[in-house]
Amino acid sequence: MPRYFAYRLLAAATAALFSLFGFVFVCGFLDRALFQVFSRPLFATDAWGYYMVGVAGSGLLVWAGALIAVVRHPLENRGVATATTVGLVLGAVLRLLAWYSGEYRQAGDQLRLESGVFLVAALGFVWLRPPRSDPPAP
Amino acid sequence: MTERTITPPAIPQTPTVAGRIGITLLCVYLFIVTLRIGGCYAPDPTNRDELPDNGPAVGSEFPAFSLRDLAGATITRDDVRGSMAIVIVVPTLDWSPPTKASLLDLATALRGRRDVRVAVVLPSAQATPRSLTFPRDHHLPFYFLVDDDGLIDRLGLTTAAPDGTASAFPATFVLDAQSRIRLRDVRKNARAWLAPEMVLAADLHRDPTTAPPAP
Repeated sequence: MPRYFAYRLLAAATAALFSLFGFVFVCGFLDRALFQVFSRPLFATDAWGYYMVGVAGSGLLVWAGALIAVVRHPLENRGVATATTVGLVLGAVLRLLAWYSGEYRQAGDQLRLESGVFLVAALGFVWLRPPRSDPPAP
Repeated sequence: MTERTITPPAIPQTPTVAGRIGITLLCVYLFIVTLRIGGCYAPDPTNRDELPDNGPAVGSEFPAFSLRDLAGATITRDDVRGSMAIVIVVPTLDWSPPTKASLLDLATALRGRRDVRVAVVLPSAQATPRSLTFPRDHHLPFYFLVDDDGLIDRLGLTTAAPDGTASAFPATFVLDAQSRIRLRDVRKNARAWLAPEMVLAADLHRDPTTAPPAP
């Protein structure tokens, strides 16, 4: 069914992105705190900023794992789509507030672009999610 | 063992549909905000002087001052003399997002320019710990001066903040090497600031007291 395929594709793409950013964030924290592999820091922040980056990266990896479960069993993990929708909308609101604060002016329109992508993905999770009564995907 | 069949209870679909429509409306609203929020504080390419009778005019000497910066050092007008200088009077560095955005814009425009000195003058009543966090977080290469010398009064820019404390009208002055004012931009509202490109494009070589050349 195209709807199941699109839903799984969206979940897979989101999981891939979250895995990538989660991995980079965790690597950034490990590099700053322990190993100093890279010649220059990955992020322009201090030790506590790296700690928060590491925590966020861990959360993203866990979230990606939940989304992989959605890809494998869409009907049994519908709640993950709901949580992901809430998370994406919250992320979009936070980015808009960050843009409006003026403190992140040097990011240009990146925050607005991210916000728009998050909202489109949230709409995808809302409308592509299979209803409870649907038969299981082949 | 006998196999038991569990029949799931019938779940009404109406709340799901209502939830979907609600989330969709929220997303559409936020999407419109995303598209429109860019107009909140775009840099203004037009030079304005909304208080022309207040303070020194273009071509006159900028008033002398002696103010302390965030590190505690005393900065005087002579410290910014000798090259192009920009003096920016800000109402606050806390509750005005456009002010913070404009300073970050200016810092970006000035990247690599070591011949320009920038002094940001903050009303002493607005020099709160929250306000002083901004320059410390962003490491801007500007002098951040707290006005405990009455400079803002002498410039005729004193006003009241929304909470009743003393504040200032937003203003931008471009000074030449002799501290004469080459450009003056004064506004009543801090929502819009003069675009950094226009600040830097101030003609430093033309004498503003003479008539402009014929077209």
